[in-house]
Amino acid sequence: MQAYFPLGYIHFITFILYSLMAVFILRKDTASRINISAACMVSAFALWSLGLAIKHNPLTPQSAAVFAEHLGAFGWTNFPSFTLWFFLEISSQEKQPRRFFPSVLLFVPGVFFWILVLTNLLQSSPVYSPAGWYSPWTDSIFPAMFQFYYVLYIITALFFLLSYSLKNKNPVKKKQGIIIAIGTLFSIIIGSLSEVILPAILGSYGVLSEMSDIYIVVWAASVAYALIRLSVFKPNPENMSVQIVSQMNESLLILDETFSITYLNTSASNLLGIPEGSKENLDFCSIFVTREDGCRILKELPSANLWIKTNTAIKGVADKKIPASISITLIREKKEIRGAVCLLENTEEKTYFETTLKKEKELAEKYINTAGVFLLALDKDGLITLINKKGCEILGYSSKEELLGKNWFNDFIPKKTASATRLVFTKMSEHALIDGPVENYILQKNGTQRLMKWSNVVLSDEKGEFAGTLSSGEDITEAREKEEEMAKLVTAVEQSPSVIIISDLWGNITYVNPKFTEVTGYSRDEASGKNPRFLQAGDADKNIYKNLWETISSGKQWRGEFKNKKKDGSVYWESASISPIMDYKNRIFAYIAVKEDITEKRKQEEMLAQSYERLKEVDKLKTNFTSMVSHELRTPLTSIKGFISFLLGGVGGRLSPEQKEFVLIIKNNSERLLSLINDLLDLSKMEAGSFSISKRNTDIIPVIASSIRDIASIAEKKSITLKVTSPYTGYSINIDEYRISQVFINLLNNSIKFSPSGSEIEISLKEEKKNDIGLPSYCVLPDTSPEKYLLVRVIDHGPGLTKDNARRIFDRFYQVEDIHTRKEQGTGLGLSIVENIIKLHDGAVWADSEGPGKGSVFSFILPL
Amino acid sequence: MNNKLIFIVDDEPAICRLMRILLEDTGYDIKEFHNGAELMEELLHSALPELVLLDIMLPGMNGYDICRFIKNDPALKQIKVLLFSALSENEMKGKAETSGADAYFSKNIELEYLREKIVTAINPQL
Repeated sequence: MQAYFPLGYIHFITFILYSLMAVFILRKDTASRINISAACMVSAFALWSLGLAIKHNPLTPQSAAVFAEHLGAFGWTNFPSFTLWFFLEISSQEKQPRRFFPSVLLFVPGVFFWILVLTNLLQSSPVYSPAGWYSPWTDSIFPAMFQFYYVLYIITALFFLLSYSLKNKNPVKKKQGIIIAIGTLFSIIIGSLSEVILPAILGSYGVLSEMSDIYIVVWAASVAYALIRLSVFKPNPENMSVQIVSQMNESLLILDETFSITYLNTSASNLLGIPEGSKENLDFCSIFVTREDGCRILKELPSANLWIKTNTAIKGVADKKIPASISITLIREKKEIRGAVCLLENTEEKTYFETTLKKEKELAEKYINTAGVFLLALDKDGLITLINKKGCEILGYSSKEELLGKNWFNDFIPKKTASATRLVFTKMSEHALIDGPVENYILQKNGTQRLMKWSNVVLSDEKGEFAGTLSSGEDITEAREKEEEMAKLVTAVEQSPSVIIISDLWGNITYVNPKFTEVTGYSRDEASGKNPRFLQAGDADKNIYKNLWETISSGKQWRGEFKNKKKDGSVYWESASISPIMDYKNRIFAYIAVKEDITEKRKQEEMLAQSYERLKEVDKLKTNFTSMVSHELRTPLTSIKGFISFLLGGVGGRLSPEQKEFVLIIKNNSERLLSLINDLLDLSKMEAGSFSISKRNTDIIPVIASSIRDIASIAEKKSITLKVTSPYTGYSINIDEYRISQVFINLLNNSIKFSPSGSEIEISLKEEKKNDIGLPSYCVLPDTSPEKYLLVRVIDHGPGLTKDNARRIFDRFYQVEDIHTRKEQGTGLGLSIVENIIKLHDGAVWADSEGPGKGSVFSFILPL
Repeated sequence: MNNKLIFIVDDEPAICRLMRILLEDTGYDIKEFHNGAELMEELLHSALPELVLLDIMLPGMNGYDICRFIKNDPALKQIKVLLFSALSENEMKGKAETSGADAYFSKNIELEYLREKIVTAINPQL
């Protein structure tokens, strides 16, 4: 106790040592919780040493001693807590890091005892001695409690550290733990000796016991060594090879010189389902599904240093078959085989990826082949490296094998264009940019050319150099032909001499051709979007459009005429043909109108119609005039004829023979005049269409008889005999009695006129079948003609007729003129009237003659 | 009713004269009219004739209309009406029949035949 040992200096040195250690530990890794906790622990020692360094100095005043006491006490009351924290951090490093809160709780007793120190309850206030100040324990329970806390924490900490270190397979970690534990134990033993045991034996509390923190330096040193020198907590291939091997993902087996498995790492153990620490030597062959695989490997192994086998299968957990590849490296020492390292790789996933890749490749190939375009890859020399199905099809080959490797430009491009096509390829090989798609002709197997449109990309190798081209092509031969045809159509429409308008479904103009502009004066832009109705002239018929729309919207063509107005206001007429345009589903999607300016035509037509109307009027006037004149002419004739009769009858007195002769001449001429007037009247009616007949069933024989009676006086004058030859005594037929009588009279009159005196005229009747009549070709019967007719013939022995005359004799006013003499008077109207009457009876009349001088036959037929 | 009276209606004086001569010896008195109006005036105010010889083409009312008028009047309808005209009988036929005329004939027939027709009309029993 009386010793003057410079204890304070020694404590000061230890303070410096602790501080340096703390700095080094932290510098090693400032982020690691282990290092932080270790540094805190060492710092607690440093505080303790600093406190003692101040106290154990006889020069220190009391107040400084009290401060030092309190300062140092923080260190020694809390260092068990720091120790426990540190050891716990080490032992839990592979598990989840500790939470902050439980760590803080560790410090509750430390802080509690520090407060006891501050209140002088654990130790009494410093007492002076020649060696400096020291603080004796109080007589209370607290020193004992403190010692209990101290021992409990240190032992617990040691327990955690030792159990962790001893269990640890990592030799470095084990070594570190053990070094720290030994350092700790050493300090505890020395500390206990100096602090507790020696004072108990010596009965005094001496210098040695005051040196306790010096012993702890060993502890701190061991910690610092372990943390700094061995770098426990930073992976390091040098000192962690075992750990690396153990924990690596690849499965590793170590075989001894007899090729028995002596070690397997965690991954291998998991893969094979063999416990990691399994002590018994395993037969290498037994890990294979097929034992022979392993045995063969072992047999071949000594001759090689490295042996790799893929595609084998090993037995996994519960003998599950696992596809694997295996590689074995022999370990030799002075040419002696000492063992082997075997790496197993589970290729299950790899196989899966390979299969997937293969599928993808097949799919890609399928895509390429089902693509609707020609896909072609050429290498840098222009040889085909890829061609799809469509490409083969277009070229006319059945398989791509026939094509691969062939020179594209020599074999599949027409000679004429080969150099131009190759130029594009050359440009691409120089990485020149080709704008847009390229078109060129290709040659099919059968020699025909197709026009293709290509999109090209340049393929480059890894060095970025030209490796070839990839092109996708489309056969545009037909499309181009269509385009050209379309262009022709478009030109035709554009240059059409007719106006062409195309409108949408709603009738709005979408297209007009230049002719439209020429005719109407409206430009395409002005017309577009408008309804063609905008052309309509103000006074045009509005109903036309209604009718037009009804027609074309029902899918039919409409034809008609429009009265339209040009841009300059002038009116024009157009004839239009408007049709719907159908799509492939037969639905209307547009309308097309083809129009023609018919203003001129229309004008002419109008003029024509006007003249026709005027003519009709003139004709009507003429007809009325004729009929009026006929009537007015007849009336005076009636008087003339009447008074002539009176004169001849002697009403006005007896006439001398000469007077009588003159009156007879007057009578004869007035009768001729009357018959002429009657004929004119009939003809005028026929022309006006008002000449009609009313048929009824009549016996024709009396009609003939009465006609003969009427004509008899004329016949008598020329001593002509009229003879009727009929197989019938009565013959009923549907006729207009009066008109047929007129026919007989006219025919007989005509024959009598031209017959020589004393000759005979025969009237014959006969039923005939239509085909036996011998109708001249110029006589046309109505379509609904019956099979049988009554044929009537008037046969005379007159001068006869030429063929031409026979045909023209029924024409109005036509007369067979004898150049020398015109023996007979006549109007030439009689036969024309006959023809008209017979036609109204649906019959026919004609004349025959065997020639001039041989008489004539006038025949007519009436339907039965 | 038997007034022994014949009316001739014709705008042609020559025709009237012709008829008058033709019918002189029938014992009938003959009166001439030149249009429908004159005839109507006479028919309404004087003695009725046994027969009217009626021309068709008359100024004003035509013969058919006059005939229809006479035949539709209960007081007049017993008068015999003979239509005659410069038209042919065929031309007259339709309208003459519908007008109710007792007979019709063309002026262009032989005078004897004409006289016969008239006389037959006056004395049907002959």
